[in-house]
Amino acid sequence: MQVHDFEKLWFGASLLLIVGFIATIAYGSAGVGIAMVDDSGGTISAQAVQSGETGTQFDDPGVVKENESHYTVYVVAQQFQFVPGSGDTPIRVPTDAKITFKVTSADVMHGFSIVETNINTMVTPGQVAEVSARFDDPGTYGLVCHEYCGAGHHTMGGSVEVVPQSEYNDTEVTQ
Amino acid sequence: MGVRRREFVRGAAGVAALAATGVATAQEEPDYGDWFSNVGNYDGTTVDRRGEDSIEIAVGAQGNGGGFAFDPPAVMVNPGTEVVWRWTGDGGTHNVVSEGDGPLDSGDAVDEAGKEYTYTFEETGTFKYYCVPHESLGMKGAVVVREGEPSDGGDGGTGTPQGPPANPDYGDWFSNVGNFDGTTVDRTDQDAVEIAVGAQGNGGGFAFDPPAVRVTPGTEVTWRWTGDGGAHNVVSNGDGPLDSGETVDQEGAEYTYTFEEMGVYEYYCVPHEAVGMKGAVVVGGPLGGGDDGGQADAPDITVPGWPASASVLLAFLAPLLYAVVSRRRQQTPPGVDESERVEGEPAPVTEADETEPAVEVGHDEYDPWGTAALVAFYFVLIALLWVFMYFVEFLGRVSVIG
Repeated sequence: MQVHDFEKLWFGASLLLIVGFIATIAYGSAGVGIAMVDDSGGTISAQAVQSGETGTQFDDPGVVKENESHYTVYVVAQQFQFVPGSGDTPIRVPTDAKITFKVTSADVMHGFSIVETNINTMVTPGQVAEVSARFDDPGTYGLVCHEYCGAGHHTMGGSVEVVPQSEYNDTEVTQ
Repeated sequence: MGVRRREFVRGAAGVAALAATGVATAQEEPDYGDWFSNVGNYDGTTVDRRGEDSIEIAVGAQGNGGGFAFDPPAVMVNPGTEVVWRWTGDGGTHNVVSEGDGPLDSGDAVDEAGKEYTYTFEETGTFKYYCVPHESLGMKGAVVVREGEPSDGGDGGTGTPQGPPANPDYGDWFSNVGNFDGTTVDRTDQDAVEIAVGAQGNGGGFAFDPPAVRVTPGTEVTWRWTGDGGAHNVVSNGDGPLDSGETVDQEGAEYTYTFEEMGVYEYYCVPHEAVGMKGAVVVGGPLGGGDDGGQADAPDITVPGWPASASVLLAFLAPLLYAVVSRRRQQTPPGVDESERVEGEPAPVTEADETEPAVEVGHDEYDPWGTAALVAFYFVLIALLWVFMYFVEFLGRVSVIG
């Protein structure tokens, strides 16, 4: 069988492309630290979340300062709001720190998606969804529930305010 | 549908108020704008609780598709009245927050039954409030603070009873009634109305004719037996007033009832209820003073179904038609002259000619540089998309890092 030299070249280029794709993902994972959403958040009783008797920070959801460069945000999703996040209580976090969102549901399946970021997870009752991110630029991001959760689903949203670390006010934060 | 149901509820509430407290004297109804436009449990009336020192409003009452209502949604009180919102524990977490910069704010939404939030209104005005998580569902309310006494001295509503709406909501009462065509026959101009018992319908003499009729209060309604369809009677659905007694099959038998109170009276024939021998008398109204004869006021938006069905059928059959036509054409064989054949001998078998290809593609036609250029272009395109999607679109955004 005769194979033209150019065709051999294309075979080689195709293989190279595939190797390139895999290398990209490896770089994203190892170099940049991109992670998948997993079950590291553990389980929790949705009833206890509903009644505020979990014995965890979910009883008083909000931002918790772990240390200077790590904050954890506890969010309870319920029909049809994020606490905090919805209404007059946006989630306020600083730039240049690792922000871990721990989200759980008090009733039904919800979604937790911060618009224009890759932060996007399902919020399952009985589970704690845990995702971490680092915001480099200050700004306000939209927060939406993107799992149909009932009649008012379309109104379930909120916002995340990212403020420069120098201006970040720790007084409202659980230390 | 929502509007119709609300109108129906309003009408029903008007009837209830009429029955409970007599005619409520008309008073100036507060103007809420469209505040209550999506509030399912607001029936158009403001509950007048003036003259009381303290009133209670349920938070999480049934309504708006679950425990998403304030009950009563609209209430009128005197200045100085203490209003207590009490949580039922239903419908998830609720709070009470004023619209705009009003005074009410119960704080974070909570769901515990028995929680209370109290506010004493000192100034007159209309105070609108809502529940933050469920505002979109219609969990809204209003407190009207006014001087004065309730006009009827009681606890009744202040709605003006007008009777059932133009197109009453019968629920599924008429779902199996073959001779009900969705219209309520208007006989509000007559003092005496007659309904045939045993009219043709529902597969025999098993119908009331007309099945649904509207009359004014005080009208004498006579049911007259046709003698068809066996023995019939006229009995109210539930604990309504109609009862003609034992079933009768005699032609010309009569049963008469005079309707004094507004409402929707559903009735049926006991032996033939299952085949759809049911009816309704609507007394009063229609709501809004319409004189459209009880016809449905919703526009008729049905379109004939046959064009769509025919198009789909045609789409399915088109390949078949094409196949049939092609086959026809092929079955006309070229070249064999029937006259040359000898009787009794089989037709000679002719083999198809080996046809030469019209154009032969040899290696000389292969253009390596042109193909190479095309392939190279595709590679560049893919590489660009790859870089853009992964490094710009994906890694360029705030990413999940753990």
